[in-house]
Amino acid sequence: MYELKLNPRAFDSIISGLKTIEIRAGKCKDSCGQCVCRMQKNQLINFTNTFDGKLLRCIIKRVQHYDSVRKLLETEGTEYTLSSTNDLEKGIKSIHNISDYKERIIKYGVYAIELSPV
Amino acid sequence: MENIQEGIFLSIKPRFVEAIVNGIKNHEFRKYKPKSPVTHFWVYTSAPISCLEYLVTTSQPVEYPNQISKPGLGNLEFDNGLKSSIYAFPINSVYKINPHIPLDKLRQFGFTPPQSFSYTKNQANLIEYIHLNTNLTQIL
Repeated sequence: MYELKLNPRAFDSIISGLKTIEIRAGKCKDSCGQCVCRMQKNQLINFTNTFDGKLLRCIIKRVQHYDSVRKLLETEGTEYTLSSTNDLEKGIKSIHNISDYKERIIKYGVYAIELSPV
Repeated sequence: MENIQEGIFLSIKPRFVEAIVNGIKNHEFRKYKPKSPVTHFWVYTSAPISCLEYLVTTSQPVEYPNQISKPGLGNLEFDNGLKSSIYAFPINSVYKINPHIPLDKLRQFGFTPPQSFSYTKNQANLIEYIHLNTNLTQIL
């Protein structure tokens, strides 16, 4: 079972069904521990709300790798992937602004993880 | 805020639960299917166990006369049309609920063992209780 942290807005959006796809940057070239590259359909993820520590369990319905955030958002759409905006350019900027995501995505790509709350 | 859950509760007899856990049974056969697709079902093991014991992830059911075409308890009978059930839900992975939840506890949330199936969306308090008070360990 995977353990991931999630900001409150994304957390609530998954619960309400408004967000069905979580976006995560690749972490490594080789498979390792909790890395997103090891995630597979039918596995569970425990999301912890970074605000209040609440837990959300989700089933992975699909994992898709992309070389860039633009390609991901163009393919998956913005409606169910972004909880902050539906604007493609703002979405790309928002994801690139997450800590070391821009560099990691250039190196390892980015993943769309389709989820369903348990 | 409504929690969109694509899950159901199923009552399954102990001998079939054992077969699921042992990997012998890889499809759950049902006469009916939920109106919308389900991704998982919570397994209530019927008497004399009478506990919520497992979480099973599933996907689109095979609908007879489509064939399962793989070995497993009941699969051949299904493929040959010998079962009364026309839907076969694949058992993709199995998680054990630790600790399991006995019926007297389940009843506190208004849960009654379903004859066919019941939707998790109608049991939000029970689902919250499960998430707060149990661990899920993957066994298959």
